[in-house]
Amino acid sequence: MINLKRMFLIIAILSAIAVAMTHTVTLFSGQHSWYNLSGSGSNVPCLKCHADIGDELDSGGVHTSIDCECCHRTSKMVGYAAVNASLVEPGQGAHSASTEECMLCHNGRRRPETNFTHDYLNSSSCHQCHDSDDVLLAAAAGGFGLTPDLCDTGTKAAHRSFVLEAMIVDDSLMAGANEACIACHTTIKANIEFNVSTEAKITVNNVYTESYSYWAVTEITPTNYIPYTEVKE
Amino acid sequence: MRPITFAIILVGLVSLVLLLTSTNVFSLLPEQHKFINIDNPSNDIDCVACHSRIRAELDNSDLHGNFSCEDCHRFEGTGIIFAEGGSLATSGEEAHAAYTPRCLDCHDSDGATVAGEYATPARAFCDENYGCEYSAHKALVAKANESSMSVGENEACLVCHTNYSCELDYSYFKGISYNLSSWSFGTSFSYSGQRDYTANWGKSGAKHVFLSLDKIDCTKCHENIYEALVTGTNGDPDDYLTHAPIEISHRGSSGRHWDTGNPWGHDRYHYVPYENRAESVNNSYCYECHNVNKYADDNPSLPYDLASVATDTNSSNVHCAEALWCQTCHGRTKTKKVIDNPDYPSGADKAEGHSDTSGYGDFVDDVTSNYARTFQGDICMGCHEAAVHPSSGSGTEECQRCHGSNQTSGGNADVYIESEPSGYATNN
Repeated sequence: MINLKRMFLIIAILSAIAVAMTHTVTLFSGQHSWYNLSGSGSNVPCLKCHADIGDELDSGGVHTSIDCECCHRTSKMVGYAAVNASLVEPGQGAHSASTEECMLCHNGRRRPETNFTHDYLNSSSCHQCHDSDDVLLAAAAGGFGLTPDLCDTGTKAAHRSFVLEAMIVDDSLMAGANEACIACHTTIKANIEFNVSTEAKITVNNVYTESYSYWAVTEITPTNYIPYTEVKE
Repeated sequence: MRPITFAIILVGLVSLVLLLTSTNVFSLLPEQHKFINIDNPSNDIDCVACHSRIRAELDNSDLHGNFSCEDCHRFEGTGIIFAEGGSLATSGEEAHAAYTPRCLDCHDSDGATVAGEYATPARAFCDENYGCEYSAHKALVAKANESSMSVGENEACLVCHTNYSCELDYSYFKGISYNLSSWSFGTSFSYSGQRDYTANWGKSGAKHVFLSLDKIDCTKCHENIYEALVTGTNGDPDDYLTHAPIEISHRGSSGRHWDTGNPWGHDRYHYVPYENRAESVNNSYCYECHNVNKYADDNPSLPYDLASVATDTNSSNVHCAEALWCQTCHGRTKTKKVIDNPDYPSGADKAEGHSDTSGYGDFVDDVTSNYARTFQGDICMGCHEAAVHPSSGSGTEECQRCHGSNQTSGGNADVYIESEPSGYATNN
């Protein structure tokens, strides 16, 4: 029976032989195996680095069958790096991918008004979004007054201020209104700090002359605000 | 090397290699790509995940506690198009996930069925122009509708019907004075001063804790009146308990008793017995005058019939309280007009009522016609307040100030009375 010392000795000898051979061991194996970018769409496997996102998408819900490029290489306003036949586009606003607004797809706009472009997509990915009738599948996120539908006023939307605040560029964590979209439509965790009024201050004046009087409610203002935090798990 | 040490070093090395060679990057906001299924043709987003506090409030609410968020905030009776998933997804129009409901959306004149329950119409505020002018809180509701603090009239609904607190800053006159001579004020009437009074109905502040109707406490917002009725002007043996008129009568069990007995032969309607004042001045007491119809409904075994009195009022046409004045029930044509004293139809103690043309004229109606509504209660209380009729008096001189020496001709009384809460009055 081979004892432990003898086994380590064998391993050491084999290792020395391997090192002495003509091949050198590359620190990062595969770093010289280049991807072929001549095909349509993105030829770089995004999931190699973003497997966790792939897992999230595969876990259920919506968007399970959509490739990364269908969202992240679809803005007409960007200009991605691409190889289109013999023409090489070096990329302008982004190289491989951009962080796009949910509303890029869900704004209810059709060509040519839409900023969505299919130019950088793999031709085989059409049916990920479109059925055979080529209908627009991404439902418009109506009810905030952000789509071209004249009926989409959003005047009664309880979360409209949330969406509009998320859209303010100067104070933006994400593109467009995405913070608001993903807060509700994904399982992302969120800490929401509310500051709510707990009291109304009402000013009531009695207006009178000798022969005529009425009570006038001149002001109603919210007051006594208290903060509290909601943690969405 | 001990096996355990060797194992730890091995695990550490393997972990290091995995970490250095791993190609995964870490997402800044994990789960942002884990989209919620919205295949159902209704709301699939868990409102409570972000609004658990509101759910907890509803769970402690007397009313609406069985409602889901969607029952109110995606109420279909408004015609609002909300976003919906499903195979034929609906794009929202006026609202996406939810709207802030106006209470009257459900409690309108037709009512509505929500979660299997009928939402009763909020009479009279659900009626056109918020109903008649006699609704005591109509100005509040109208102002709430103008206010941008919440949708519609909700501010007014919330302060009474939920645990949302309210502070009311009132300003009104401080006092009035007049000389009553032969049932006329001549030109003697005047008002003076300004009283600022703050009433605060402090509650938990929770807008989604709806109160059962018996928990809506009139005396909280109208604390000045409560204070007047319960404490009056401190330090006086005959507290100046304005807003609770005595009913002048000689029919006590012995001597003068303002608390029991009157020409109608029943316990005094307005007067609050001195004992347990703090408890006796409650919603039911307020309804005695400000919603006679409800008071009668709530008290079917009363020793007196209020049906005709209710018809003298507008109480069936108001929301909870009627803005009224003494004449509403005690005017010349009203059921409880101020009548002749049946105990003494003639003689020295004859005292005629002063809402009738036959005796002292239309005094009550004249007051109603000639003076602002805000003064009318205190005009009456200037004589009908207990403090200006001390029970220790000799018996006749207090009457004579108003009724004259032979109880049939008008007397001469100089009256000063302050508004609530002091109610201090002099009648000389």
